[in-house]
Amino acid sequence: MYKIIGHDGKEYGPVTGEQLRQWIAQNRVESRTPVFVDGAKDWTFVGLLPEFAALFAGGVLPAIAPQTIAPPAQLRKTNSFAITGMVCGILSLTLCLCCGGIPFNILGLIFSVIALLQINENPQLHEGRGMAIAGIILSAVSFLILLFSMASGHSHIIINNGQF
Amino acid sequence: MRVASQAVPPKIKTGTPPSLAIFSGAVFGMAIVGAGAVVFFFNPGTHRFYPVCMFHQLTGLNCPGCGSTRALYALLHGNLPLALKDNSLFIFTGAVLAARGAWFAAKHFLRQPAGQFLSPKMLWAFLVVAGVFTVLRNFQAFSFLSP
Repeated sequence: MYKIIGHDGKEYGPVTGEQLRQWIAQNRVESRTPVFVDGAKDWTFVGLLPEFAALFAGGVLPAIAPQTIAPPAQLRKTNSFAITGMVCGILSLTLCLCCGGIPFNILGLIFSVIALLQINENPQLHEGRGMAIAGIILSAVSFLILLFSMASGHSHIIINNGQF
Repeated sequence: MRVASQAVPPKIKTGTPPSLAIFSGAVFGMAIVGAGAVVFFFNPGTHRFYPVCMFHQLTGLNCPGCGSTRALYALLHGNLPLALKDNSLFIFTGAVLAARGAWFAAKHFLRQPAGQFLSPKMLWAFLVVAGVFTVLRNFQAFSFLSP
């Protein structure tokens, strides 16, 4: 028997594996849905259970559960904060003409740190650690350029001589 | 052993609600049109109110974004060769994003799943291209890449 937490945050079950399979087929349960198996120590994710993993791999569920516990590809999603953080980091460097990249390097740092926290909390569910780190580095470099130019007396407010 | 009167979890909705997507798209589009109008009517080569690149001021080198406004001005006035010389990365990226936007719009119109707008592979590729571009454009031999 399985208990799950639905997309509305409420607990459902305990239900049989057959019922859970129906819910998966009806798109009520996804690979990232938390599940509690009778006799288990802790909650896990449906996609991590070998008896359901094949359902998310796009194939027909075999009669015998596969032995591998490797999480299916669909279980891992690219963290949106990581993508946003890296985009902001790139923008902060490529658009450094505008106020030293000010809105983007701050946003890039915030988004990338949130992404790293989320990834560290649930490493099986998130991809994009590299992008989050890249976002932090790019934003930090943009900040360094800003600091150096402020320290050396340059600022974007001084008169533009057509060089930008 | 079917449990009677079983509560059923709700169906999982995927994607952002269309109203939010349309709203953010409209705001983004208006910002781009507004910025384009400013650049179109005020030549960045002669007007002084545009912000200056701090990296360029600090080092004298061209950053990956240097020349973007001039490139946009040249492009809006129909001078593609000058636009490519001012900042080919900017023009190239703009073209790729426009093509991807059109592809996404077509997918949406045909009600087919389209996936992510920016994939991690695209971001990493862009980072590499931008890095190479930045190094190259600061060499005399590749002066056709710098404004």
